[in-house]
Amino acid sequence: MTATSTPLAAPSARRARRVATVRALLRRPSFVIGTAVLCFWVLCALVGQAIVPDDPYATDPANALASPSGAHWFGTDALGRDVFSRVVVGSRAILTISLLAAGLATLLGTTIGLVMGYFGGLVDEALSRVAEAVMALPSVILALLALTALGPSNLTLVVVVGFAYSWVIARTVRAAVLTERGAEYVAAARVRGERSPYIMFGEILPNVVPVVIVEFTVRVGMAVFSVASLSFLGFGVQPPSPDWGLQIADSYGVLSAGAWWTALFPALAIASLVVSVFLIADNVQGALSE
Amino acid sequence: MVREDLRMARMRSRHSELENHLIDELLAARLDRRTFVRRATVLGMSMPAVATILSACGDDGPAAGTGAAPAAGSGVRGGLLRAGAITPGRAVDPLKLGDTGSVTLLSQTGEYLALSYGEPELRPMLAESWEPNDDATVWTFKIRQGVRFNDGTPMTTRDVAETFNRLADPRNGTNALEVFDGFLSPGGTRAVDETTVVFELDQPNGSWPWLVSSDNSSAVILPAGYSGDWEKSFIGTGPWRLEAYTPKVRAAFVRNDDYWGEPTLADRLEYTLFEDEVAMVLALQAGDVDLIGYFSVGAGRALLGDRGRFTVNAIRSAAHSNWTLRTDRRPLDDPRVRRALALTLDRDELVRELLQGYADLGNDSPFAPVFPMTNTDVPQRAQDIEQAKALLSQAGLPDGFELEVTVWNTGVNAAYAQLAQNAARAAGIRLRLTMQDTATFLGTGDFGSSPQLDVISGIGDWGSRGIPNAYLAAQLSPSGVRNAAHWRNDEYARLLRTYVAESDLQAQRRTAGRIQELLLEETPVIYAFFPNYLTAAATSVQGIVPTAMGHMLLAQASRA
Repeated sequence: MTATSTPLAAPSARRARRVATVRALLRRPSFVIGTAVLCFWVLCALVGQAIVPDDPYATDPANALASPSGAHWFGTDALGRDVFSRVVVGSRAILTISLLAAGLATLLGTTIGLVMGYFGGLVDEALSRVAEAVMALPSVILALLALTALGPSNLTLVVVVGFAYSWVIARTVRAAVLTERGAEYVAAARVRGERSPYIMFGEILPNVVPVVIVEFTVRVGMAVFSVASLSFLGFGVQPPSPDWGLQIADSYGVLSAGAWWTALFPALAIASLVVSVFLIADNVQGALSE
Repeated sequence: MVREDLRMARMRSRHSELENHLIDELLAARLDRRTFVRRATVLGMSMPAVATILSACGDDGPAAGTGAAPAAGSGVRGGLLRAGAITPGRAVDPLKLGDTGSVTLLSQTGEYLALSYGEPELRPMLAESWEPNDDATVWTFKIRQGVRFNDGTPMTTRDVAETFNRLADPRNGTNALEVFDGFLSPGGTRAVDETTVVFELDQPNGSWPWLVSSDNSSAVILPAGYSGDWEKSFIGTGPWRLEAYTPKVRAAFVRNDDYWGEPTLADRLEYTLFEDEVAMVLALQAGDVDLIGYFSVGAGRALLGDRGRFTVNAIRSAAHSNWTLRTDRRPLDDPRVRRALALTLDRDELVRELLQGYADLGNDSPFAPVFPMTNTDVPQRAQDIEQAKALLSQAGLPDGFELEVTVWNTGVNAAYAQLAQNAARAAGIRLRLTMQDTATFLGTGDFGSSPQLDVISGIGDWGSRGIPNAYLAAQLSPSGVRNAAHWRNDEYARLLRTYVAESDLQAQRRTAGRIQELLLEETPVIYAFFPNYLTAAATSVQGIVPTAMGHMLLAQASRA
């Protein structure tokens, strides 16, 4: 019984392992940098509206395309709005949508992955084919198709991006579940007469959590990229929202007139957010596999 | 002076009642010189006659070269001309023209009875002259002789008559029905002899020559047996002949040696087709093309600010973003609410900043300042937030209201909508914006399955026309095919009938004034500005003749 009880019966050991993992992470400089950048953007998302110098929505056409200065640190856009304020406040939409989309994808993907891996057989076969069909298309194309059909809104964006990524997560979780399925603690649970949902979520899930955490962080980074791309293409967050992808799309026409600041700062914002999330994901993966 | 009077008297005896009325208007100083020339050309008066009348009135007469198609250029002969245009959204078919890119390509090989060019003025093209009967129900056109299609076959009056009977046939669903409906029936155009074509109209129309000119971009003269597939041959009588066409990529043309007019200066013309304006503007900046067709202020700021390298040609136009308000839906069913919304807009700022001054002010009617029949005595609507708030209070909405506005994301519309959203907030009106691409916004084009016609409020986009008739009929009349405001007003319908039948400019202006006042009162559609039609070329290129409809006449264009 010792083998079967290990995963469940040793919470203190798990806590100790968790503390060790966090310590290992904090010793990695790239993790610290990534976390700092992400925390900065999360802070912007939470209190940005209150601290920015200008109303990010207030148009001032007479002052359009002003270059960066003391009055407007990042200059103004084609409608005279303060780019700095828009970049800071713009973090809220993209972070919220990306986190929700990644969260939804993780929830859906983990559930599907557990079902596929635990039941195997026909269920696994059928769901695997669906996953292949969904993953055959690049996620942005898939999202574009759905957004065209459903019409763009933030909720649709979360659902569509979440759905597209859930199958990728499902495949990874399934692989992890397959190795756990044969473990003795699962057999023991069956012998105890536990029901399948309990075995999946109560017994197997805690043992594949590291995989789920890594998947979630990676997907947050990818979701940021997808949401920004969709907004750039006009299918994501809608004007006049200070969304970063949208800001770059709006700046497209004025770039040739030399107004580089309207595109550069939101582009740097996207890049810094994506890189910070991937730095965190890489380090979490590394620390968990140590 | 006595000699002038005698000449004038002789002239008068040769002109119809309508034409003599026009001369009276000029003598009474109710028409300026430019408007007189414009109206005279519509009525088919020849340029020598116009010059005689003007000189009898103490004017030096119209400038040289206004008589025929644009004057022959003195540019450099030979070589290749490289142009850029937005790629047509679908197959180019003269009967169903979808967009500016299609009109641009069509205008290389296709020609009209008359050319509507520059400050609205009508110039003979495939027709040499035209005249109405006394009540403007029958219009007789003299057709140019010796014209050949670019496949070598001669153009006859039968081809001309067939072209218009085809366009007027509702079964063909052509764009031309927008203005022919109710005026020209299939069979209403007849070839009388080898030089004469007669339009017998269902009701009087004093502006008929406009409606069969390049203003009606579908009205290019095609062979009698035309059966579609225009893209295969680019059949027409124009100065160029198609060499090769790859849809969405390029169209190459060579000089049409059979052309009736001045031969092209360049030996070849190559059009590169672009998916979007910015790419097209960048190609001009990079020197990949010598000239480009329509670009918006938003995409072309770099060109507007670099006059040393590029020539920008701005044509005043009647193109507009029509902001429709459903008059059958709460709270917009109350005219006070619609007026309040219109009063929040700072139109001067929109023209000055959004359009960089390249636009005319709109006064919530399709009577653009560029039209001579527009009544300029009607007061201009200006921003007035206090009045807007007062109107909302009277309408029982002291706290304002929320309105979803669906925006066709093209040209300046997205920026316009965001500025309007900001402006409306001052009066407590909260606009929620939904951007839609072209295909989504237009839908099938029918009521019930087209957001542009169904949404409670939408911002659309209309191209320019030489006269406002198409806008007045399609957008605002009770039976209008694009009446997105769902506005049904009997007085308007009556005034519109009167207006269209009138051929006298003063009468048209009077009726226009009443229509403009009614539209200000009712405001089913907000017309805030009329952007100029902008084209650009490298400064080394000369002789380009663009129209506000999208035509690019390049026969006399050349590179120095």
